[in-house]
Amino acid sequence: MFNLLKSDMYRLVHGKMLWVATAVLAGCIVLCAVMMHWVSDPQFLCDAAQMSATVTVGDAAEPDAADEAAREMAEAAAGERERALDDASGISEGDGASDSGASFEALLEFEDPSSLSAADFEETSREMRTIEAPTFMFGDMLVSGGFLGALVSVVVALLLASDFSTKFVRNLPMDRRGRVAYYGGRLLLVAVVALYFLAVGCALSLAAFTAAGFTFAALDGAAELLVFLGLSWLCLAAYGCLTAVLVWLTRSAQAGVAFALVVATGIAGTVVGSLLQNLGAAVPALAAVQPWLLSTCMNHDLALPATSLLLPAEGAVWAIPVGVQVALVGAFWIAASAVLALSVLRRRDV
Amino acid sequence: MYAIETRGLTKVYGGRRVVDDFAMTVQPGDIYGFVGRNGAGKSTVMKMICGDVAPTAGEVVLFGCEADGTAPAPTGASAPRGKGEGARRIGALIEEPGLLPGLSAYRNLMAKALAWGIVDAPARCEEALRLVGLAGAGSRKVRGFSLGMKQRLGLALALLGNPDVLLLDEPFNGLDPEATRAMRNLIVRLNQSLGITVVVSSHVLDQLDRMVTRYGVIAEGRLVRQMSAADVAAECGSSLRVRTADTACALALLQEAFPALTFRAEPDGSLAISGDCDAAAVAQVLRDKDQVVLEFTQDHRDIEDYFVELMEGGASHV
Repeated sequence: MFNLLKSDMYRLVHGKMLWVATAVLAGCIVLCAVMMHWVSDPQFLCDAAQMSATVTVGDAAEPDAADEAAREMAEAAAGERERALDDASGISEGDGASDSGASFEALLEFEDPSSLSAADFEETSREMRTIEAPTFMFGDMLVSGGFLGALVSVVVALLLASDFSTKFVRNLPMDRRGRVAYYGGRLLLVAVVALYFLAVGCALSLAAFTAAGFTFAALDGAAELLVFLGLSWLCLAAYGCLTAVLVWLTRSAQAGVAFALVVATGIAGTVVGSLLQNLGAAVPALAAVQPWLLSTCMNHDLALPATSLLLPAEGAVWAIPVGVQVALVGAFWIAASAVLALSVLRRRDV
Repeated sequence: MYAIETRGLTKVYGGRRVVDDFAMTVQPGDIYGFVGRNGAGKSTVMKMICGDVAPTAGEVVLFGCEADGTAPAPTGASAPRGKGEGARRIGALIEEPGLLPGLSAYRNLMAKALAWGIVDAPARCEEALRLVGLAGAGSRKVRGFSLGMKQRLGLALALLGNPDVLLLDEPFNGLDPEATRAMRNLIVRLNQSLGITVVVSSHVLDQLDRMVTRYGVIAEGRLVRQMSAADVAAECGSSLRVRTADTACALALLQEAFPALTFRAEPDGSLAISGDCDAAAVAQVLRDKDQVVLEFTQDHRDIEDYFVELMEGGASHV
């Protein structure tokens, strides 16, 4: 099993796929850091504030119903900046800061950007460039968006399917009474691939955002960091294992890539989650299932600050912490994949 | 002890018996020619021997031990020693070589060597490349290889780990005459200099005829016949066809006079005499014993006709 893993690592390191996927990951992270740096630049904030004020004042003077969509867009785009500016300049927005309509009213009050000094924008920029904690950044940017899950699943799908499409699998040692070593080795490989992309993604995002001038309000404790990384790895590996089983069942890279794009990104999970929530009105047990979805763990729970992973899960029996719930879900899908591979698939001919 | 022995080997796909109660024996040191039509079950048998396909029934015995190494290993230096040891003694090139096109030839070999835990893998890979004449192309990506080079690299992959048995399924497919000759010479060299037992299936009968020491004929999943190359030569070479008024008497007389020759009674009452026979001497014996000769002809049978006949006979029999 470990010889197979060694061989797979050799193939990955000397092949193109790993490096192309790493370059894609690095490119996306750098792009994200550059964009965040740009939108949090004091000059950009100043220009944006002036532009928003002009647009919104014009809209307010003639509140045309046909321009409602444009108004909403301006409102949405300005929302984040507005909150930051309000904090910095002390502009009043009444008591409805969380209400979108109130926010828009607040923007209307923001009639004269010249009343804000450069120091105000500097302060806002500094606040925008201060991230709560490294794990918050990893979770928000890498894990919860489904990007890393999709990347791991695509790499796993292409790598495992190539065994069959190239027929290289025939060169690998096969136990006549079952392919336990083969499938076991491959599941280990999935875990290693997930770990690699998680580690590289975190390291690159840390480096890119630090280089772009972002700082952290607080640093995670070692335990929090380990819990977050461990759970993220578990969820990524779970998606990878599910992709692997699908590829082994279908012997098709396309099926694996489709799974990566639809399921590992969290799209399917979001749809299922919404459906469960809606049906939950009639059958409460269904709503209780939603927090136990792998997509909920990945896209919701791991997007929260690492400290929240230690809080009790909402509606869970025995009030187990969120982190334990995520661990159970991840471990369940990995175990289910392993059981399927080692019991049913191992009998399949190559 | 046989290098390979299959006992009641059966494979069923979707209710169809692709291989049925297949019993084959390959002696150590043989170059075993495996002959059969397309779809007769040759590749499936080979895949079952090397472990890529699990038999529905029956077993594969390698060097006197079950292929998965579970049966007690017999004593002797060449006996498999543990689980999977039997399978490790087989190198296979079945249908088409399984190559990773994005990697170089050397790295393809390394990927296999690492998977098998071969000691001193880099040196073994270099050696395998040298053995198949690809030493100069080791760093080239396989994507740019010709079919002949891919076949040779497939053979190099099969040779990694110093197997005692090589299973080669249609190794001459797609090769030009020069490459075919090179491949054939390589197989013979591996057999003669390294003592590797080779099982080779091919439709190119004249290539088999030049190197094979034993034949096995498969038709519709069953082994129709196994014979030595000498048997085939005897049955395919020049033969006499003699029809007399009393076949039984003529047969007895000729067997007594020519004990080294092979006699076969044909359904039409004639005798087919093969081997190194002198037609004049046979005619003389029959005349001396006052046999009434109704037909006396000399036949030349083509090896292709011979195997087609065997396969058709086997198929109709099955």
